[in-house]
Amino acid sequence: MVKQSPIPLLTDGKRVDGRLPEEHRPVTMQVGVLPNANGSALVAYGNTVVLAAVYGPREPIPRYITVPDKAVVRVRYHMAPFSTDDRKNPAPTRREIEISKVVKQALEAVVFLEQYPKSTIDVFLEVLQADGSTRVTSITAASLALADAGIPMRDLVVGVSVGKINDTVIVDLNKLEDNYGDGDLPIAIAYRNNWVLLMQLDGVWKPSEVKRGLELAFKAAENIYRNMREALKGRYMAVVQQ
Amino acid sequence: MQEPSVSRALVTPGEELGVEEEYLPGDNAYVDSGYVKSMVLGIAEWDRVNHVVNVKPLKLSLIRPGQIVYGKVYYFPSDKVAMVRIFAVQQQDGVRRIQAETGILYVTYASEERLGTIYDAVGLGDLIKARVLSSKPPYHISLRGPSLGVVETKCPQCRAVIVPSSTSGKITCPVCGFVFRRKAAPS
Repeated sequence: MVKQSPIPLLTDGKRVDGRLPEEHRPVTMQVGVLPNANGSALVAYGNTVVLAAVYGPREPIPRYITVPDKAVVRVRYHMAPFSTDDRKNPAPTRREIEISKVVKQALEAVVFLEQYPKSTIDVFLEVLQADGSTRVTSITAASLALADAGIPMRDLVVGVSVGKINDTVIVDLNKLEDNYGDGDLPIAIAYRNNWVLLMQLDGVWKPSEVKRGLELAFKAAENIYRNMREALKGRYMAVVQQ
Repeated sequence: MQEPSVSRALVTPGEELGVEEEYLPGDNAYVDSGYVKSMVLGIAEWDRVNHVVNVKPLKLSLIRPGQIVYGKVYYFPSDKVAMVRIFAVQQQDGVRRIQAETGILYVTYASEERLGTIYDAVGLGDLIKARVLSSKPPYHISLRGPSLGVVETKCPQCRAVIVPSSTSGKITCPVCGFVFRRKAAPS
């Protein structure tokens, strides 16, 4: 049975929250929000809020996970019980384990792991409020927190979600569009290198729609990337001026 | 007016700092597709005389060789080796606590003199000040040097806390008069 949205997702070219198809929700970022973490970031894509904390590089525990010539990245994506409308069981679900894995793989591609042999870099991602696109918001937050921790990276990673309502390709899905839309295409982009580090696809897409989705994702990533740089520079400009 | 030979700016990871033909990548910089790029969030310094660009990271997150660290002896796997839990690092502006890392102290690095066993240099529970020798965990550490050694110990007989005041190899307990050996660092 096909799921039916309680309200139309697209009316006269406008989405449920009044945005245009290629319009991203407002993005806010804060860096260095947790004093005890080596690096941290709080990122919001509209009502979706993710807190990221990075600990390390540090000694791996348990020791058997140690790799002699490079660091090990561990990622824990978790949705807080209060982040959704109905209480979410805090135990890790299949979905959370999968997202942890794909975020880890996206981050591994940009971190200079060989700089820290026999070490581990732990990334904790806590979704505080979920309104769609949590995995891409988490990727942006994780990348900012890694940069804040002073970990050598090739680039900052930007997460953008693309979706489909009927034949219209849209950017940055909210919860309704995520649940009742016709497709979902989360993308992680190393913006300066033009690398796609994560690309998952749900639904039935024509090649032209995927192409259009990628175009829109790169366009949206430009703005988010600029926000990320401003957040990092804004946090540390005072230190530099001293 | 003459242009300064070094210019600085705050840069983020992946930011282009120049082209390969003009600058060599120095610390925390790398070359990708002909561009010199920053690896870390930090202050880039363009040295126009030597044509090198370095990036000074804003956060140093790892113990490096040569650094002075503080730790606690927690285990002796044999009479030649002591395991140390490193919990603080000496920096220019003071001592900073870090997440605990493991240090290994081998008997040949425990003193300038030749020692029979590690027990002649450190005891269980001693707080020590040491120099880091290796670049990856577990860190090899050394007590060789006039300012390095045990900074706080306990009398093996009466358990009185003793802060050594001289670098001599023997410590006398001020409470019970018991004499024991340690590689002491003057407070």
